[in-house]
Amino acid sequence: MLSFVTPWCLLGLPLLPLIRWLHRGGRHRRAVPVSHVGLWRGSQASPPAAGERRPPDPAWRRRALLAALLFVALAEPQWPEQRTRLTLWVDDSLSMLTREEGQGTRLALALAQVALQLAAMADAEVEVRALSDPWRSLGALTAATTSTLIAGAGRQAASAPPAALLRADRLHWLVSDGAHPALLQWPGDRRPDRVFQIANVTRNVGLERLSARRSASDPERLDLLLKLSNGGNVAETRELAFVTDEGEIARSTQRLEPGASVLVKASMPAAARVRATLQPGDSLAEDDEIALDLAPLGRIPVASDPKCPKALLAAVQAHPALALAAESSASVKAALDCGMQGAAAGRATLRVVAQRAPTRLQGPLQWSSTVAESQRVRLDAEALQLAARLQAGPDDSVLLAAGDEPLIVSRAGPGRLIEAAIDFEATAIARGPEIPLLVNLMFERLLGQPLLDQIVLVDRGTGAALVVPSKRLDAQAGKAVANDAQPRRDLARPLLMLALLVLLWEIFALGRQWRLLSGPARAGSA
Amino acid sequence: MAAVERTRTGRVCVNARNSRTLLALALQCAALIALALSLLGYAWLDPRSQPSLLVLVDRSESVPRADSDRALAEVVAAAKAAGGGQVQTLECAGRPGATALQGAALAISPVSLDPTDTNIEAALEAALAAHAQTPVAAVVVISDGLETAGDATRALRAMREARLPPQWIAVGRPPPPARVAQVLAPDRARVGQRIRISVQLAAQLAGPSAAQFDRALRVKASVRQVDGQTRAAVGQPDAAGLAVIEFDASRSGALVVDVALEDPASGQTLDAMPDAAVIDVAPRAAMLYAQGSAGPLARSLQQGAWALDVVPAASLDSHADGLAGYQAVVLDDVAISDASPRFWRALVEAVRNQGLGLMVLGGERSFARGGYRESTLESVLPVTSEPASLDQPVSVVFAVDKSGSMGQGSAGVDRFALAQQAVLETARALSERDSLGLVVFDVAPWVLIPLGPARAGTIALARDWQTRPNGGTKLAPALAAAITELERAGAARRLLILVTDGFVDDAPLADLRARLDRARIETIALAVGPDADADALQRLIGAQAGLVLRVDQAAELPLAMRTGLERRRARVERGTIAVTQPLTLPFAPGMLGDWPAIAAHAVTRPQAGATVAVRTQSGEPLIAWQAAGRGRVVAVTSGLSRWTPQWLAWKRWPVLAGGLATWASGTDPAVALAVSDLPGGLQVEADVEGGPGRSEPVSIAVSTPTTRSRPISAEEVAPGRLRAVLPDAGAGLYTFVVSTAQGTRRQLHLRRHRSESAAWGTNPALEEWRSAGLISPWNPSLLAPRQRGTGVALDRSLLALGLLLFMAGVVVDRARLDGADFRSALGRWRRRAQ
Repeated sequence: MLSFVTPWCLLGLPLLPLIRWLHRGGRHRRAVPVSHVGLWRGSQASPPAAGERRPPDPAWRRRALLAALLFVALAEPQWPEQRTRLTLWVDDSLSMLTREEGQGTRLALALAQVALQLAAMADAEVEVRALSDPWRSLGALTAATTSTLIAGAGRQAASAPPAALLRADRLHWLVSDGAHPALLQWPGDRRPDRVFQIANVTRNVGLERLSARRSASDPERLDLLLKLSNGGNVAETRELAFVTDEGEIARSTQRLEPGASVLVKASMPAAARVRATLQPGDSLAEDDEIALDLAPLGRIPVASDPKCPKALLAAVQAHPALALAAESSASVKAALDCGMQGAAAGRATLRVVAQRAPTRLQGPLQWSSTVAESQRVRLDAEALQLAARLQAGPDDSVLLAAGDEPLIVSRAGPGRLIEAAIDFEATAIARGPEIPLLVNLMFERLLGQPLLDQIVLVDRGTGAALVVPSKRLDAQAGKAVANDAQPRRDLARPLLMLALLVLLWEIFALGRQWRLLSGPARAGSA
Repeated sequence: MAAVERTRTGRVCVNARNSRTLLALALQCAALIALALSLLGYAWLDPRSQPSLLVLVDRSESVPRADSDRALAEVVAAAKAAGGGQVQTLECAGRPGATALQGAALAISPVSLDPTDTNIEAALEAALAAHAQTPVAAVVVISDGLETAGDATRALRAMREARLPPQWIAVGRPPPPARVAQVLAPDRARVGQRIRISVQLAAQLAGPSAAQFDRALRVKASVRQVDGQTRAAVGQPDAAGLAVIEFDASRSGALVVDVALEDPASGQTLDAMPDAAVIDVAPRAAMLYAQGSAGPLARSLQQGAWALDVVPAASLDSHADGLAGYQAVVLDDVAISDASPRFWRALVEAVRNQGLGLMVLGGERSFARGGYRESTLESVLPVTSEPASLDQPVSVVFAVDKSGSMGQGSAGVDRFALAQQAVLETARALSERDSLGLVVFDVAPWVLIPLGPARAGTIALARDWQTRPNGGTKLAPALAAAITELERAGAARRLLILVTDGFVDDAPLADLRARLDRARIETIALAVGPDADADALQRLIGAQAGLVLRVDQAAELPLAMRTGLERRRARVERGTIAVTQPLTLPFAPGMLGDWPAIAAHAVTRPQAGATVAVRTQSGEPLIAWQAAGRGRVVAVTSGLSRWTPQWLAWKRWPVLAGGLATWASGTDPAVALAVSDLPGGLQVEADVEGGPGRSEPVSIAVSTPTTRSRPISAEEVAPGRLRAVLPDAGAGLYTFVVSTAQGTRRQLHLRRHRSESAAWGTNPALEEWRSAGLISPWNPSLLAPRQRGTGVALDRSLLALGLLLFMAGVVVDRARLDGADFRSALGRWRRRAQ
């Protein structure tokens, strides 16, 4: 229905009769038949009322039309748009890849339903947004968009749409299976105008997380931890297998009650990757397998210096994440320098400086505030000895000091360099845990990554295996929620364009009038 | 239209008409221009055409207030110059504040904004939300771009998607001439040690030199304790910019160090590094040993290389704030009255939440006799004290001081009146088999009620005592009279209850004490008021044959006397009591076998869940333990001293004493705890030894700057790796406690905001954002009237102008300005009137 933004502007329309009045006819006209024009001079003029009044100038219609158009344009008329503007929010969580019996995935089926609905809505302007990446518009719903959504499903965690994108001038439809109720908790208590839900399959067991770390007892082995969950509503039994490139390393049978999760632990020799699989598969095949790249748990080659104290070399050798390597090795990522070799450009270097006879520390140990409390090594100042005097530059960072003497200094500059002045040959600490822990601390600072307790994991997120729709979504499924605002078309602009055309006509007419008047005037003056 | 008109005067007026037409034509052309401009999207006076700006103003510590205010004023001035575009401001820091229109006062407290943080992402999201409600033309950000929380890049991408890339006014703090480069401090210290804090300064110019620090500067360091106490000291930097400041570690607990660099001449703070370091000050010893009575265990433990802080029970209150540094507390025959309720609350809190071990030893002043029954302490003990035994008759003589000082009081009730009330209430609790007597005294005693049946005595007590407080105080005659009365009693238990508020005179205490011992009289002395000589009374009655109760407020006297008698009558089994061990002890070798008999023990009952490893033949608990929260608690109801003389000579004594102390203290569990600062919180990762197959429970608790200890749920994300996230963690000291079956480990973590306090200039990422098209520099032309495109509403002012010009043109064209029509109409009117 037609509406106006400023309807009071229509009060100008009663002024149109004024235009009519301005264009009223001139004096009354009376026909006096005479036989000769000379007789007209002496004819008796009749009273004005006796004649016929001239009709108004027809220009008033054009001018009234123009004024009316402008008054209506000022009132800004709006007409409800037939063309619907619509944002289609697509839940692209992993459960949307569940295959419904004898059909396709939930995502494909739901999008097909949406496409059917949209086909019935002529001229609908649709933009598709995935809940895992709401700020990126995928454009209209096309086959390519559908393929993009299916290919990216389950890769990122989905969340409810941000408030800034829930524009009131658009309809908001949601495609979801309802397995994750949080996706319906829209900001500001907004709700989708329509929900497309496909969720008939209610059975699934999925692998949610696989992690690995070096075994504490044997650095050559890895400990695995796998979390699998029953995301359906029926108790399930699955065969779980861990597989590496070398073959199967463990197999077990797992029974899970509905909604339950279990942690399965396993141990394996060091390998490049590991994969866990569930048998038999179910309707959501994508979470029946999970793979983990174990390469980050490999040892980092460290170029050694034969001049280094034995305890130091032993600590590097025994470190589960480090391995001594030849200087010439191309894979060397860090170097231990005790005077035999200089720091290679671009290579992280731990330089142990020994310039003088070891002396006892003068003062208590002090840690830099840049070393986190949990990273600090418990050291006995009585057991440590100083083998060099380090000078810290203005941009260097003293990590550990004893009194005024820096013990460990992180050097500023393009190359990564840490210098240590601790006497690692001191017998008081040679057999304790201090040297290995200090070596770990220094190489962690050098390489910028945790070494001793590093873990690798692939995590699909808690609840990734859920496929059963929540009750809340059931209640809303297919129910259109009226939007506050209806898209409307602004009619002021076409009215103004029409008015401009009329005004051009008016200008043309006035120009012609002026030209006509200009002729007699010139004649008169002549 | 005729080109020539004839007027009434017959004059042809062609020229005038021609001019009017020309003017009308000009007006219509002007209207055409106005309407065309409106159609093309140009803006003029329509308020909707004025650009609506949302200005985000960074109010974090790293942005100078004056500079940001200046930038804001520039934006507002540009808006005014452009005709008054609407400007909304949104102040932000760690959290976005409220929006305000231009000119409206913003009443946002800095605390609600959290100026110690910068979360640009949250501010931009707030701007997007505001834009969703009421569209704005542009967003202007006044900030240094340095963020400590959130991900501004993510929000900027979102703004670009929303077609609202912000314009940025970069405002940063200029670097100070000298700054605090780093702070070195020990991570732990012991009480009494000197703590040395080194502060390294850095100059603005590159390269350190004496010349750069020749200006007199002052480094101020403040240490804050958990209880809020603060101490400060200053140091002078040397030529290399190193300042050393020292403190004494006077008390155990965490010390947080704040450092500030000041200009002594002006007092101005040049730079500051709050929360620069945390130092865990531990007590000198691992164990706090409170002695209510002298016992051999402390000496045995010290001989076994245990470091103990041995303190008298009466001084426990001073340790209420330092319990966290100990591994265990031993209460050796300590009464509840030895410490204030605050200490007991702190002790139980430390046991439950911080894993403090607790060993409680029985004796004459502990368990029921020490007032443990239904106390705060009993809530963590593995045994509960049995109620007082009423089966053994008792003879009680009350000796009440009626000296002049007992007449002091308030509200019309003096101490003597309260003492009368206390005696009467206590007497009413006696049974028919008991007997009582009453002696009042000043410098001389008067036996008001001779020792006799309790019922008759109670009736007599209820009558007027026919005496008033006056005179001095002589204790010895009164005690002699009371002892004489009690010596007349038969085989019943003899109790003397003494009430006095004065000094003990120079009476022969040794003789009196000998008489009390000979007559087997137990004494309860109530020392009323601040002047009462409680120590002398304690010396008089000894540690074993009675107890002294200090009553600070006279109003507490009735309750203190009644409960004191109840405690004294508490059940203590005495004799030669055989001992058995049905269960293993919680330390190796577990079974000790051939337990010697004991002489006495407090009668208790085991709590549900407690383990009773050693008991009497009749099943009474002797050694019981349990876990109370994170702490381990063991109770030895017989104590380990006077009631267990044979144990002290037993060959297993070292194993028993050391094993109990070791178990209560717990061992450092094999847990590695790593705490990481995430933009939105703290991530805690605990590595528990054991890996696959480990089944022991692990719990993690945290005390935050704003909350007391509370458990946090952790999930095992990798073999042996527990992970928990503490969201929305503000700056300050966090104390994590990890408990396993082996014991408890405590880890401090200081969450800092270095990037706020030690940041200067602007974020280099601003250039990257600009290159990526995520932001653009501030451009005041944004506010100038301009073409707004065809997608917005028409400018009403231009439309109205076009309409007016058009109407004017019509009027000019049609209206005759010579007044002929007017005169004609006037003439017609006159003719009609005639």
